[in-house]
Amino acid sequence: MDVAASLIYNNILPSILSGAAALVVVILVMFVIDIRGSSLSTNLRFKLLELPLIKAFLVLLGLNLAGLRVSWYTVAFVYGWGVACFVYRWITYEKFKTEVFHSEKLNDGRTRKIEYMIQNIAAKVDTKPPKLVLVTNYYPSPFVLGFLNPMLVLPQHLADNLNDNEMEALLAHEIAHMARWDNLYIWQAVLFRDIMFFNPVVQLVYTYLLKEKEKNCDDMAISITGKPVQFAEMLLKVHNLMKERTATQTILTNTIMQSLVGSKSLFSERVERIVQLPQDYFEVSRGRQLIYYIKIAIVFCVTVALFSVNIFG
Amino acid sequence: MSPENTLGPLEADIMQVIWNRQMATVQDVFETLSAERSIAYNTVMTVMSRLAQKGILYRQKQGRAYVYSPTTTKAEVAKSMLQYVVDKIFGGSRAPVFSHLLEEKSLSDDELAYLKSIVEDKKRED
Repeated sequence: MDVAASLIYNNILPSILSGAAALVVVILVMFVIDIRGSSLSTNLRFKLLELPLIKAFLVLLGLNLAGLRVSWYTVAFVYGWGVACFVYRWITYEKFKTEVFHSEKLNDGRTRKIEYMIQNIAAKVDTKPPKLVLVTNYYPSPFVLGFLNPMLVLPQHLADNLNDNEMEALLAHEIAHMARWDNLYIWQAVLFRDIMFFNPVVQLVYTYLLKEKEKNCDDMAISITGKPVQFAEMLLKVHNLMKERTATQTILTNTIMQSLVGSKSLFSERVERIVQLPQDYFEVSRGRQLIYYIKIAIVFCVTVALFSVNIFG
Repeated sequence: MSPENTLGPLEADIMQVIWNRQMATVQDVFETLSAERSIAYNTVMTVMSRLAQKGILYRQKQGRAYVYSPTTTKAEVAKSMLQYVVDKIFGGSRAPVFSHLLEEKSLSDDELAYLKSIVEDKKRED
């Protein structure tokens, strides 16, 4: 009981409070330096949002840059739970990967055409082109699997229904995830969220990180293709295809589709945002670059300050 | 599985009867259940209609009555209910795998029409 109480008062509560304080600081910084307005700044928002997660985790462990206070039961709890979460995630991931490997794959002229498009887009963002896997299985959207040798899994119904411009926009979005190493960041964020399941701040930040990730990739994809309207049209088309398809599925798929309760959907937010982007949003002038570097310096200082100062715990 | 499609206690009892029989009318289910407990015919009918709307039961008219049959097995529903619980705890078991192009949510027709209109407006502007 003493151990549990100590864990709660010395680690869990300070972790929640530190995460909340870090989130307040991060939001203030976002407002003060106005991390909006140009495509250069969007990634900074993503990086800033990761700070409360890391801060909450370090405080939970009893670690921070200013000191080191770790007790054996904290280590046992956090590492034991952390390893359990990681193993669960890894098994789920491997099972899913096996499902994809065993699915029927297409390898025809269309596959080669899409591979060529992938090579072109990857070259534009200076990243290694992913291996294309065109599968007959139904997945509502394409996705990237893996980190070092990523695979872009594209369901056949999308290859059948999207025209070249729409396909280019879709591929650009997926390659943007790869170029930004989103899979790795999200693994990290998911593990933090699993480990700190008791921390509402972590849950909140995680939700925002997912949204930011998609918006950042939208920006990157649009800067690759230079066609925001076509990107928005592609999103609408893929959504419609998903809606038509799932309407005919049995309960198992319907249930996923019907979980509509909640806030305004991210999908609407993204389409509205893309349509409303200012004309000069993607321009990279010298002035903008200078402001961007100043913002990076501010974010760096905030990061150091956040991890040096420990108000709670 | 959404909360809307998890089975409540009465729904589970009704499904149990239908899974056992594979095909049943409201009268069949009512007779089986009323042997064990006090229940109104209209309650059974309402719940079975709701299950049909959810897609768990398939409804076909035969003569004057509707005959209901299950669209999915007991094991599948149990699995997806368990998955729902796991997803609630872990926030989607495939969370780290997927970088979604789209979230798996469907918009209403009004929302879609609005989004289409603003995209069309933007297209005209350009």
